[in-house]
Amino acid sequence: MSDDATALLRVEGLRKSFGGVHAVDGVDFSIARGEVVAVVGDNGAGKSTVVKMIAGAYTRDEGRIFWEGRPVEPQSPEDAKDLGIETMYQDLALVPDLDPAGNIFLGKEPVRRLFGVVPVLDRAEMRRRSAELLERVRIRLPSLQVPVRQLSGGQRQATAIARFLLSDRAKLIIMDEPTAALGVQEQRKVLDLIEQLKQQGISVLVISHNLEHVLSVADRIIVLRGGRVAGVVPRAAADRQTIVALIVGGTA
Amino acid sequence: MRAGETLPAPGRATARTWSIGDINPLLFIIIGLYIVLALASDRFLAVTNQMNITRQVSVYLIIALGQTFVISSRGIDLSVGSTLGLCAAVVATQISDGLNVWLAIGLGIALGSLIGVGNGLIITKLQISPLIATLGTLVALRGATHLYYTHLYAHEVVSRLPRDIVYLGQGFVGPVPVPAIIAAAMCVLAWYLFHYTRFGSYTTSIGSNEAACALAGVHVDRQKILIYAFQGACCGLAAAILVGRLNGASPDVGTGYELHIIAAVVLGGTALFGGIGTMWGTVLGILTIGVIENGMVLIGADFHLQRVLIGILLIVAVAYQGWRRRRQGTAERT
Repeated sequence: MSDDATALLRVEGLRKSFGGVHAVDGVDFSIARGEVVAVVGDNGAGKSTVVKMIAGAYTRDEGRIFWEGRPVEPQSPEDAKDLGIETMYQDLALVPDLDPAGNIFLGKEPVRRLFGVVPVLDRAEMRRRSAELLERVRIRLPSLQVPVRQLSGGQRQATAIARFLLSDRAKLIIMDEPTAALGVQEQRKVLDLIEQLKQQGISVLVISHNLEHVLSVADRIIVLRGGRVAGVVPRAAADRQTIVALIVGGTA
Repeated sequence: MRAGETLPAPGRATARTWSIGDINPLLFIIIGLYIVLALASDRFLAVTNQMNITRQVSVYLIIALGQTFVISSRGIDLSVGSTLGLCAAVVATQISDGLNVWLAIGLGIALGSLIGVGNGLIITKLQISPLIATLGTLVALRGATHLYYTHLYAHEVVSRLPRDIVYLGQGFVGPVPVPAIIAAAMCVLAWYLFHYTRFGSYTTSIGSNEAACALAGVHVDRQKILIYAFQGACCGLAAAILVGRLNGASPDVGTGYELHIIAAVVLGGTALFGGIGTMWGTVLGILTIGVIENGMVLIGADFHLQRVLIGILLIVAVAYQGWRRRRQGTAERT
């Protein structure tokens, strides 16, 4: 689906080993703008390792990463962020006692001057822009002024996502098992959220164990097995059996 | 609140229903104490006695404001009493030796800040828990204070200081004691910093989830060092006031203050494990203890009874806060 010239991200021959074990052993794939790509595979297939190399959390042993056609070397999560690659952590990295607006603006709080001199946090502005960001991904929170620890899992995810949208730099959002540990209704909301990001032109790379979820949101599904790409399945051709077969391998 | 289908649009649904439980329960306790003490002693409500209470609590309050920042950030500063002691020693001896009073006060604040920076560096760079780090400085600074008097000053006690510094501790503006005015100004400053600046917001955020703050680009170490520095500065200012009130100083000044102050902060509703803090609660906590101490003296109760009362009150207050937070679903910790 994604041509090399138009790809947002392209990786070639990615390799990474830990103490002689080849966790990732030559992986190639690409992601287009606004495309949702899922990475599936059994435990130890190399999903997290691949994603962490892209996110700057691991350095690769071999291989090349192209970002918007240019070779890049993300050495740290900050490097990746500067490129426009954001990673949503499983614990979401939110401050539980802070409200959603405070979390969205954490580290980037706007300040206004009272009487032209005294600097004060511009909470009204934070709430206003938070509401806009949440509106962009069609998320409604009960209040922007309650601590996020009082929000549901899906609402916290929405808050984490809105954080990424704030900088307007995010072009690729990596999600590691975003629907795990959520109720059914909440899972649905997260999938809707991914759909909304896609419509905003933001690419999503999602790791998930839940094939149903993967099949409902992903444009393409990359199946890893033993650190290699066992197959790339476009949505049109994707069904449960094909993917399961690729995950477990051609031993049948 | 879970699903969200029937929820109003974001941003608009901001009004939380107000309940009587939102009032700090200490306010009721203070009102209760006032009623009981007013009935028990006809001197309690007298203006001079009320002003006396404000003067008595001022030194504690100024330090407790700093401690509220520290505890909100999931830290603790046990060294406040010793910091106060060393700052008082330096301020008193320098004034006694002829240093300008205002310069000496500035020196005390600077020294306190420096000690705070030291605490912050030990905690962040040596990665020692605040409890142990400040326990260490509590002991070391008290020893240093004694050494300072015996070796650098050659007297154990300083007394009979100039009028300016005594005014700072004992003076009045109209009926209001000067220390109370300074403490009130510090309350405004602390309240502003805590609720209206990044400094305050990062303080509770670090106490709530330090890793998330670091990930968001907050300079966590720098922020913590600044918090302890502010606490130290509060101790330095309090030391100058105390020197004026005592019209002198001795090596044991401030001993045991840390427990009094931490008790007041926690009593007020600041969570000992960080993330939640309240300046208003700290003011009420200090006032509660101050009113109990004053009232017990007035009604001629055994001095030790007040300690029993304060101890029980502390346990009851924290139990209540825990119950309330659990009920709101805010007690879960990740």
